[in-house]
Amino acid sequence: MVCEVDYTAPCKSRNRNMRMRKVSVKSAFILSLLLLLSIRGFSQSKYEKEFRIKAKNAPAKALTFIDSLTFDSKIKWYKEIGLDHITIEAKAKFNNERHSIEFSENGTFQDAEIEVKPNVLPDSTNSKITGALSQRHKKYKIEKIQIQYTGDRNIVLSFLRGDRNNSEGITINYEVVISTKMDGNYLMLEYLFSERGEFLQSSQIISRRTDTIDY
Amino acid sequence: MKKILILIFLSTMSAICYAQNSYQYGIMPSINLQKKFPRNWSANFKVESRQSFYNQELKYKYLLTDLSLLATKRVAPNITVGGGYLLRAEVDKIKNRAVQQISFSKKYSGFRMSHRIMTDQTFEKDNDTEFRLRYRVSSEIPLEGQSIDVKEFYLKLNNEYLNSWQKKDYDMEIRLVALLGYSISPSNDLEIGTDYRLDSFINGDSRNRIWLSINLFHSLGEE
Repeated sequence: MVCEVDYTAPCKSRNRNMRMRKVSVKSAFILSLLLLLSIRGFSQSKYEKEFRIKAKNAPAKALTFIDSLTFDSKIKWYKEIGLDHITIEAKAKFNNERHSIEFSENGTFQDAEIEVKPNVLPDSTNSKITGALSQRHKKYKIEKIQIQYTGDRNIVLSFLRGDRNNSEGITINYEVVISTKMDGNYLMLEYLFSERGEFLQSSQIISRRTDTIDY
Repeated sequence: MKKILILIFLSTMSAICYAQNSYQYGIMPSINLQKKFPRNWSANFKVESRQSFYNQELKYKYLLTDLSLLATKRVAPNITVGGGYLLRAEVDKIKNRAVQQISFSKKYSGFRMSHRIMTDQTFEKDNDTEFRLRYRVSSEIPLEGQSIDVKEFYLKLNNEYLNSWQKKDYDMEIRLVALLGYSISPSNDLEIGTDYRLDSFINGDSRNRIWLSINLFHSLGEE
């Protein structure tokens, strides 16, 4: 039989040695459990948290903004609690592009981000960004690009609702997430570039541990 | 995502249709300790025990304890390769198993998915070596937002197919696992759920094993 273990087989007679082994294996398991729990308690450290909220719990100003727009998919609302800030985010799809619009806790518009393919970027901006990334990293892979629109609430709203070729009065930045290898370690970095492809800032993305799904 | 859930559901249904023979119910707690090392290396030590409460009759029986150590190296942002060793202590015998695996995991919008291909060889006194080729697809779905944060629940679904060869015998085992997870802290996760295993359905009477799985994951050195 090729089964992992044949548990249906009849039990063999048990002698004293076998009983002792059984007890010692059990003890080893219990001991391991106790040892683990004593290594370090379940310490709670500072963290950021993001969770889904219902539309009715979103600030009125944010709801009005989102209601003025048309999306192809259901609008999902999220609340993000950071170390020193709380933001409300509405996520939806339009023209097959993921839109993410962020507000402050009281509903003040902060920015709108649209996920795009690299070929959507103007050629000159694209080559500046890839040039800057190549300069910093020997090898990298672009995981995600988002166009970020900030500025006056009404101007951004008009832009999103209508003529997207007219971006006057709006600050456009590009948020680029890459995976790369630095000092021998694989990591994810988030870069922010200006409309013209100039480097503004970068930060490391701390990903959730993967051992719960890898092993 | 919907397609995956439908696939898992259909797999479960087809597995249950086969399920006509022996049934065993029990508990399978495990503790996983992970330690990261420089240059993308990490090690995972796992202790897992199995205890049966029903096997054609209601009766408690201690079955086994597994101790395993696996070393993995991240060779690409989403790919890890590894190998290790497992010691299985049953009531009256000891088994040794060598393990090799490659994992591909990727974060999508709203969930994370991992594909694992594993081979193992089990050595046991007075028995032929058993060779297995396994494929597992797993997904972690946050239940409170788009990512799993601390103090949040998540759902973990696994579906694994294990091909087994021992001398001239071949068997296949199908595993379906549904777990409710909770992220206690950045370094601790607790999962509880059902682990359903079906085997021996190709050449004989099918064997169904249903375990209450309780897994604790602890990452050493994480804040």
